[in-house]
Amino acid sequence: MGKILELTVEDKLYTTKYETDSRSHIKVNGDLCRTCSSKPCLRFCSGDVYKINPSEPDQVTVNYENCLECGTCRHGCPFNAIDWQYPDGAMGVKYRYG
Amino acid sequence: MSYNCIVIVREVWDTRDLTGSVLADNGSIKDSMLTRFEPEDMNALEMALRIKDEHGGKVTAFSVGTPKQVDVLRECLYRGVDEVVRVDAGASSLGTQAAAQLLADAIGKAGQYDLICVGVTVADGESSMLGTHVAGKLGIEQVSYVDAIEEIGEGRVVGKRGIEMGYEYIEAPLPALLSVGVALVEDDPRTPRSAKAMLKLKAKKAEIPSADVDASAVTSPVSIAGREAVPERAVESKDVAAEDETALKSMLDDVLKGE
Amino acid sequence: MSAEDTVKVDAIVVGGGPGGLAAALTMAQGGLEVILVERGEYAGSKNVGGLFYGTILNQLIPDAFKQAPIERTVSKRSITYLGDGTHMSLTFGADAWSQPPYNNTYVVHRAQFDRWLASQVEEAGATLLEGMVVDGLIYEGEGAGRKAVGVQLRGDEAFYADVIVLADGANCLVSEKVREELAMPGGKIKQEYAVGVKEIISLPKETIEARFNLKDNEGVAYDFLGVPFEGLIGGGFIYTAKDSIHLGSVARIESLVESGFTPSGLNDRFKQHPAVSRLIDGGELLEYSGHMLPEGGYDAIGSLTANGVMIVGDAAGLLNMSLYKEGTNHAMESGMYAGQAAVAAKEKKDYSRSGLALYEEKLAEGIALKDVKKYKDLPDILTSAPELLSLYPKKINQLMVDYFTVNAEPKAVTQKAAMKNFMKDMSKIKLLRNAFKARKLM
Repeated sequence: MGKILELTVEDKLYTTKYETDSRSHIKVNGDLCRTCSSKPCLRFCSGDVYKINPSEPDQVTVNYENCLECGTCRHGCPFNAIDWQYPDGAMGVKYRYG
Repeated sequence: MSYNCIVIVREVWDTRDLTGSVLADNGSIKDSMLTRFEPEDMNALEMALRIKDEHGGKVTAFSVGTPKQVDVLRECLYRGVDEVVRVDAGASSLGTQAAAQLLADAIGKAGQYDLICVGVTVADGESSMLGTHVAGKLGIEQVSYVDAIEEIGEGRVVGKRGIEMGYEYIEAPLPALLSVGVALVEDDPRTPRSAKAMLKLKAKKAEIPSADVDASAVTSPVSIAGREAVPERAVESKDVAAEDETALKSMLDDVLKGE
Repeated sequence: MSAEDTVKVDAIVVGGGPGGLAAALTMAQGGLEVILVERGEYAGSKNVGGLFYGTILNQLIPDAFKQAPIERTVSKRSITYLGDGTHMSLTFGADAWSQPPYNNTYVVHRAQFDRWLASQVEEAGATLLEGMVVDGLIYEGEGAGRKAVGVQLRGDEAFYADVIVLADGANCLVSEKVREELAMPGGKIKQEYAVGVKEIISLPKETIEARFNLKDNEGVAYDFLGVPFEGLIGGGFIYTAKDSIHLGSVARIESLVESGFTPSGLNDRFKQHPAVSRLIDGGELLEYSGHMLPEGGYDAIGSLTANGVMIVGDAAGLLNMSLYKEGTNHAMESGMYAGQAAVAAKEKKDYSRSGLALYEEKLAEGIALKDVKKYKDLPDILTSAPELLSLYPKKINQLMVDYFTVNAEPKAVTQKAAMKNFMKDMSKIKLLRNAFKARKLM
């Protein structure tokens, strides 16, 4: 891992502990994403969950395993295209310090 | 024909994704360290519960010591065992031999049983041989690395073990102790068989009986005499572009030279 | 499900943060049968914090600060304006803050602290059900008489109770749903949210004590504004734990989206400011976390009581986002009042909205709501006068640079030039108006 000032968000997320579920607790409505040119989800997410789908640049991929469960996407998506539910019990992020 | 199964379960340090130092200044393990239900013991629990599902009988879980964070016995109740027994370890932490002695004493007093299941490799290195020692003290047969039950009946059990290029079947007379391996686990046993809030509530409220054994009678000549930290080796990380063959080669050379 | 398998208790609390735990504790102490449902593997596993005000805690559990897992007690606070390569701080400390009860201000690791608090609540007789998700409530009746009678758990199970306390935090899916289903009146404005990220950075105890000039268990709570947060409604903070540092940034979501920064990128900007980076130099990241904060303030708080339901803590919007950054204590206070209202409701056997009215009455008399009310214009001020968080700090830093720059000019010349430079690009009327607004920030 790099020096403390040079960590990427991936490096940071590597320190966060998760109990990863086999299915996603986040669904995005791809039809709405297609109409969205600004894609704020690429920026507002604290856990870097949303990324451009390399094979379909007007769509986003959902790396739900990274989700810190902050809920920003539920308020930040201008089209309400993100359906975010609580992960199943005891699944998802598990802070040791918090 | 129904069978009475016993499962031995343990709470162990959760050593996944560790960051930072594990020890606090005073040499004790930090508060931020989590514990978990030993997953290999959970496989053993699953094996016992399947025998009960198929043939009837009951499953009893035993655990040594007081819980730190995860009460594995309540978790067992939640996951469907019929009875649990806590084995008091006294004040000090026990070596494997002493823990096995207490367990054997407690199991000996718990009545008739057919099969004991326990996880085989345990994160707590020193207690991996716990099952073997318990079998020895109880004077029953023990089979290691049983990945599944092939058959049980007529005073015998046939276990299935995954080996290179195939399986082997091991037969043992009952009662026997099986150390349960992971080679044939299909489902993730972390997912509770019956994720029922009701069961969880009952498990929370259940009285956990203590085994009638005398921990003070069991001496444990093995103890941790001290700890010493090994200075961390500074590792210089290098970024090498995937396309840069020369750099990749020189990196490989460095690795091969042990630098 | 057979009748004997139906679970019916006096009260169910949804969420095991400080608000829910305070409610459960108060009700258990009042003799109610309580179940608290927490979706995380343990209470605290989804929670992020750092600075903890303990007035209510110490009231609910006498001398709690002596046994709770507190990292350090806060003996020194400061506000720092970060400029371009410059910084200006106002630091205050009091000797009394190093004595019990340490000004009731502590630095905690919430994952560990909340878990401890949960164990106290269990000891008081409440039952904690961890690792269980509440998907919604169950109702009886129609229209104005419609009341909540239980919680719907994921996996098609239901638990029933006379009263349900919703403490599902900032990301409150259950409260939002219930507000709609019970037609609970909302606040004057829509709730607004900020997103915060935090890094826990490990450093040797001695290094922390040397860098922050601390001894024993003393600690600091530093707040930061200025250049790294330019154009944002947000700021940064550093809190010292025993052998680690909490370093985080918070920004209003819409301002963040406009700025183009990611939350993590914003924290990097903050972290890389020379006045900050030296404080964490040589540290190692232990944990990265993210959380949301309800920042709409007083006007965003809607009705908090309905038939069989009370909403507390962040889910109620009871956060003071001024420099006090008080959320946990407010949550505990509201939880305590909700608990007291539930105990009173049981005596009267009236769990209707009017039967639970005591909750909002106590809240109105208490400190949390008054404090949130005091800062009710804050969201508005920060939106209408972004200069307060960006231009002015920058200007003031520049003024200090110009003022203290040592050169061959006479002081009078330097000072005059400094003042002239300071007033450049600044509307005097706006400055006056903003100064008036800024009064309300304190």
